Amino acid sequence: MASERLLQLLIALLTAQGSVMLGMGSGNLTLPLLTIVAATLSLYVTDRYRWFYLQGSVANLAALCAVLLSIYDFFELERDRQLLAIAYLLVYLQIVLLFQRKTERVYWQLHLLSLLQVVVATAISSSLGFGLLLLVYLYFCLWTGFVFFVVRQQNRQRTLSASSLTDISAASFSTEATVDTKTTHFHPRLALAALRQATGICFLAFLSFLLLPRVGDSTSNQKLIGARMIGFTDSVRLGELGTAIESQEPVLRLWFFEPHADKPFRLLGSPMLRGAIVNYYKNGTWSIAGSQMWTQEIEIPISPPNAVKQRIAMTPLRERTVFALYPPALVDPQTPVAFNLRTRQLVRTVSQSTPFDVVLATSGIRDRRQKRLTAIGPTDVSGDVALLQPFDGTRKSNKASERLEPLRTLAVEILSQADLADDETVERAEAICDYLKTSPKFRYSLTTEQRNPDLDPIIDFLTEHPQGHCEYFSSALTLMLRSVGIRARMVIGFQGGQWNHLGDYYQIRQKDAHSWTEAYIPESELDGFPGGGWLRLDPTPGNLRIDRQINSGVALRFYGEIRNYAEFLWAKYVVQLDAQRQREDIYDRLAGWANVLIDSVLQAVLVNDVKPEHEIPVGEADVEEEAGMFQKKLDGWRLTLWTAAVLLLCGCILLLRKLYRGGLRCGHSFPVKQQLLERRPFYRQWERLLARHLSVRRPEQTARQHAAQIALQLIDCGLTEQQEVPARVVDAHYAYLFGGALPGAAMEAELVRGITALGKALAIQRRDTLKTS
Amino acid sequence: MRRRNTVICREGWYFLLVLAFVALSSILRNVNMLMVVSAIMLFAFLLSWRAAARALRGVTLQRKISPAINAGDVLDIQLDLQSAPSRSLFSQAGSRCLEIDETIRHLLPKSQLAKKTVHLLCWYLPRGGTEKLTYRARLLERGIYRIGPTRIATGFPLGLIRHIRILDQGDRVVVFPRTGRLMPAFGRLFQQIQLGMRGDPLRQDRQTGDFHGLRDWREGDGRRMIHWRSTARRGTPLVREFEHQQHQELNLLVDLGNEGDYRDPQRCEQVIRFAATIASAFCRHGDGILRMAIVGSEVTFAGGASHPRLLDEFLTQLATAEVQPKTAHQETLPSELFKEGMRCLCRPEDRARPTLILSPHVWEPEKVAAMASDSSGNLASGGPIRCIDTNSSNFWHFFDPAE
Repeated sequence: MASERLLQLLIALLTAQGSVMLGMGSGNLTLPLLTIVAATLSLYVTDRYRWFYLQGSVANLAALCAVLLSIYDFFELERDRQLLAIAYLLVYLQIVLLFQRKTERVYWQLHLLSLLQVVVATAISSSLGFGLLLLVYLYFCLWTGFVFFVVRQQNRQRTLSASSLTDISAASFSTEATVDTKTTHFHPRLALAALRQATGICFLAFLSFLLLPRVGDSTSNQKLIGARMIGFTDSVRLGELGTAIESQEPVLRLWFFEPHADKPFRLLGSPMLRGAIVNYYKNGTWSIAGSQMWTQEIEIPISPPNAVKQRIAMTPLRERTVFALYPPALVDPQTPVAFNLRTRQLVRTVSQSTPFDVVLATSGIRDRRQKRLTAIGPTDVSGDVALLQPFDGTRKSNKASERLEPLRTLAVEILSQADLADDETVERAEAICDYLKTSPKFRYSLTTEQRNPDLDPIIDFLTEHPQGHCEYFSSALTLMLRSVGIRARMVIGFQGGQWNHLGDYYQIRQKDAHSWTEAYIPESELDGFPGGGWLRLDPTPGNLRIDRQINSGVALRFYGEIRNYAEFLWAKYVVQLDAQRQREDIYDRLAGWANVLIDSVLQAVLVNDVKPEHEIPVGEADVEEEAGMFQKKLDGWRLTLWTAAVLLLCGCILLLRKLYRGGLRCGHSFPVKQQLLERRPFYRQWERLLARHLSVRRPEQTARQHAAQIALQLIDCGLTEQQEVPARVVDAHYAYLFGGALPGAAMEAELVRGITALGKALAIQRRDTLKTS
Repeated sequence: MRRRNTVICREGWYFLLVLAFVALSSILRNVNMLMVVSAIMLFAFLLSWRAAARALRGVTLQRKISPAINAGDVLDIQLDLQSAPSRSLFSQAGSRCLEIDETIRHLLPKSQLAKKTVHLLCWYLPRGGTEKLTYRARLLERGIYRIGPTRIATGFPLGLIRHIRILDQGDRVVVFPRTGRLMPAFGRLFQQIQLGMRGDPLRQDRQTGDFHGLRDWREGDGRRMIHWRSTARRGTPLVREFEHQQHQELNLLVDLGNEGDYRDPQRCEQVIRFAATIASAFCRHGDGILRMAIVGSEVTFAGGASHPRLLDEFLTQLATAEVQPKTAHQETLPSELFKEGMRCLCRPEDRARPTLILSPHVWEPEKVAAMASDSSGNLASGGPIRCIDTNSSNFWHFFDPAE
C-alpha cells in the first residue's frame, strides 16, 4: 500500500515536472499550471479518497476531444511551433489519465507520456536551467520506474498467491508460500539506488556525448533570438523606445588577449563596442544617409602581428551584426566577417544558426585601455557633408536647421564661454560634451517623457525636459557639434558589460546597449593620424543602471557570475557543440594533455647526452649549445627508479585490495572454531553426504556415536567395504577440532576420495532401488 | 536449444522504440539536447541490463527439504538464498525483487505426471547476506516428486530486461502412501497366521524372552516347556510362560492386478495404503521379519529384519507401485507376474513363514503354494497362506482408511 501511494505521488510529480519543462521551452505557463493543479487534485480526489474518477467511456471521450483539439492547433500554429501541438496533446492526455482509476497500465501510460513530453520539450528548449531540470527529472523518472516495478511485482505476487490455493493440474498438491524476508528500509534504499544510478547514467551519457564524434558541422538546437532589439538597429527614432526595458537577454561574450598570450585580461574602463553608424537626422529620427544605400560588403584588413586580440562569441541571433572594438582586423583570413559599407558595421557571413565565435584583432587598445581616438577607416569619407547635416547649408537642410537654431545657439554659447579657437576641434568637442555630461540641468532617465509635439525632440530635451536616455544625449551632442561646424556622427552599440572573474570575459547583455558620438578631428590637429581621426565622445552622464550594479552585493554578483559562467560552459560544450568545436576543444585538448603526459614521462627517464669537454673539438661546443641540439639518451637509473616506484604503487594497491577482501570475509560473525571448520572441505562434504543419503546426526549424539550408527547402516545396506569411512572422517575431524592438528594434504585427499566413493555407492544403490520399485 | 538467460520484456521493446526514434531525430536534425536525452535513455537501458545481470551473480541456493513424507502431510521447503560478498569497491548494493520459480513435478508413478510451479519473491538480498524463503506444499498423492529446478529471475530496476538463471537442478521427495488403521479382524487374522507359524515343530521351541510365569498346558506346547515341579505339585501340566512373543514373520504379497479388476477405481490406492499400514505396523514392532513383494506393472521385492530403513524401502516401493497395464494377454500376464512374485517372496529356508496375499483375484492356497515351489519341485512355502480379496466389500473389515 505504501509503495502504491509513493508511486502515485511520484507519477504526479513527474507529470507536473514534465509540463513545467515543456512550459519553459514554449513560454506558455498556462498548461504547466493546469497540470500541477490537476496532479495535486488527482492525488487526493482520485487516488487517496476516491471521491471522483473518470469512467472508461468518459475518459475515452475526453481523450478524443484532446486529439481533435491538438489537430486543430497543429494546423493553426506556425510551422516551427507545430511540435508544440503534439506536446499539448500529451499534456491533455495526461490530465485525463490522472483522473482515472490507477492500474498498472495507467501508471505505465502516464510514465511514458511524461517521458515523451520531456523529449518534445528538449527539442524546443536548451537553456542551462532546462538542463538542470532534466537531471532532476532523470532522477525522479528512475525512482518512479523502480517503484513501479515493485508495485507491479506486489500485484503479481498477490494474484499468484490467491490462485495457488486453487489447484492447477491434478488434485495432487496445494501450496502456500511465505517469505521470511525483511522489508524494512526498503524504500529509502530504493531512493538511494535510484540516485546512484541517475548519477552514473548522467556521467556516462555526458561523457559519451562529448567524446562520440559528430556527424555534422552545425547544430540546430538553438533558439534564435529575434525581434527588434536594442543595439541592433540601423536607425533611431527618439521617443519610440518608450520606457526602455532593461533586458537581461545575453548578446555576446567578449575576451581580450595580449599579443602572444593565452590568458585574457580585463580592460581599464568599460569597452565600447561599435555597431551601426547613423548620419542623417530629420525630425527626431536618425538613419543612414540616402546616398549610401548600396549593400556592398568588403573584407576587413589583416591584423599586424602584435595587435591585441578580441574574441567575440555571439548568442544565436537573427541579426547579422557583429559588435567589436574598432578598428577591427582579421587574425585568420578565413574568419567569416565582412564590413557592410551601408551601415558601416561588421556583419557575419555565415548562417545565424551556427555558433559564432571569432577572434579579431584591434589597434584600438593601448596599455589595456580603449583609445578615444581612432584612425579613419579606408571607407570613411571625412569630407562628406552628410557629417554636418542638417547644418550643411543645403536648401533642404536650411529648414531643418532653422528648427534646430536654439541648439546652435546653445553650442555657440558654450564655446564662447570656453573661449576656444576654431582650430581646437578636440577641445571644442569636449567642451560641449562635458556640458551635457556634467551640467546639473540634465538627468539620465529611462522613463518616457511627454515631449512638446511642436518642438523637435532634441530641442525639447535641451530646453524644456532635460531628461532622457543615451540616444537623446548623443543626438544632442552630435547635432550641437555639427551646428558649430564639427563633423560628427552617432554610433549605436554596446558599452560595458559584466566582467566574469571565472571565465575572464565580459558578458554583454541587451541592457548594455548604448549610443555615443564620434567627432571628426582633422589631420592638421593630430599627429600620426593620416587623414584625421575620430574622437569618441560619450555625453551620457553616470546612470542608475551602473549604480545598481555596483550596489547589488558581493554574494549576488558572485552568484550571477557563477551562473553566467555555467551558462557559457553549457552553451559551449552542450548546445553549440559541433564537429569543429569538438575537434578543437575536446580532441585536441585531450591530445595535448596526453602529449604533455608522455613528454613529462620521457623527460623523467631521458637525459641530455652531453659529451665530455675534452671530446668536443674546439669551436663546436658553442655551436652545439646555440643550436640546442643535444641528443637524448635513456638514463638507466632514472628508469629503474620510476619502474620501481610504479611497481611499488601497484603492490600497495594489490595489498589494500587483499586486505579489503579479507575484511569482507571476516565480516561474517562466525566463531573462530566454526570458521576454521568451514574451511575443511572434507567435513563439509561429509555433512552433505549424510544429509543427502543417510541420517543427520541428532543433537544428543556425539560425532563418534553417529559414525558408529552410520557404519551399521552401511553394513545393512551391503556397503561393507565403506564401513570404515565414517570412523576415519570423524577421527580426522576430532584430531583437528580438539588437537588442532590439521590433516595433511594427502590424508585430506584420501578422505575426500573415500567420501566421494561412498557417495557414489549410495547414489547407485538408491537409483537401483528406485528402478526396482 | 540454447537457453536464453536474458530477455527483453515488452516494455523494453517499447522503450527501445522510443529511444531509436529520439536518437534518429537527434542525428538527422542535429539537435544536441536530443542527443543528450538519447544518450541518457541508452545508458539507462544498459545500466538496467547490467543491474539485472549482476543481481543474480554470486547467488546460490540451498534447499532444505525432507527426503520423504507421507501423502497428505505438509511438506515444508526452505530455500536459503545466499549472495557472495562483493569484490568490487563500488558495488555494494544487494539484489532486489528476485523472483524464484520452483517446479514441483510428480515423476512416478507415470500415470500422474502433474506439475505445478511455485512463485516466490525475495524483495531484497543483501550482498554477502542470506535470506530464507519457505513455502509449504501438501502432496496428496503418493509417488516420487521432483522439487526443482529452481529458476531465479529479476527484472529490477526498470523491468525492461529480465535476467534468468537456473540455480539448482532440484531434489527428489518420496511421498509414501498414507497409512490407515488396521481393523481388529486383521489383527485376528494376523494372530492366526502367526500361531500357525508357531505350530511348526521347528519353531516351537524357539522361545525367546524372559520367564515370567506359569500357565496351563495347551495343545501345541512342547514338552520342554513343562514345569515339572509345579506340575507335580498341582497335578495338572503347567508350562513356563515367557514374555509376550515379539518375533513375527510375514510374507506379504501385494497383487495390484490391473485397472479392470477393481469395481471401485480408488480401491487400488486403498490396497496400497493397506499394505503400507501393514508394513508400518510390522516394522514398528521391532523384532520381526517381513518380506514384501509387489506385483504391479512389474514385480518388486524387499525384505529383511524390521528396521526403519526397511520400512522406508517398503514404503518407497509402494509409493511408486502401479497397476498392470491392460494388455492383449489379459489372462496370462497377471498370473505370470503373480508366480514371479510368489517365487521371489517364498524361499525354501523360510518354509513356515506365513504368507498373506492381497489381491483382487481369489487364489486357492494350494495353487498359490504350488506357484511358490521352486523349479526342483520343493515346496517353498510350508507356512499358512491367507488371501484377502481386495475387490470385495469385506476389504473394509480389515482396513480403515481413516480419512
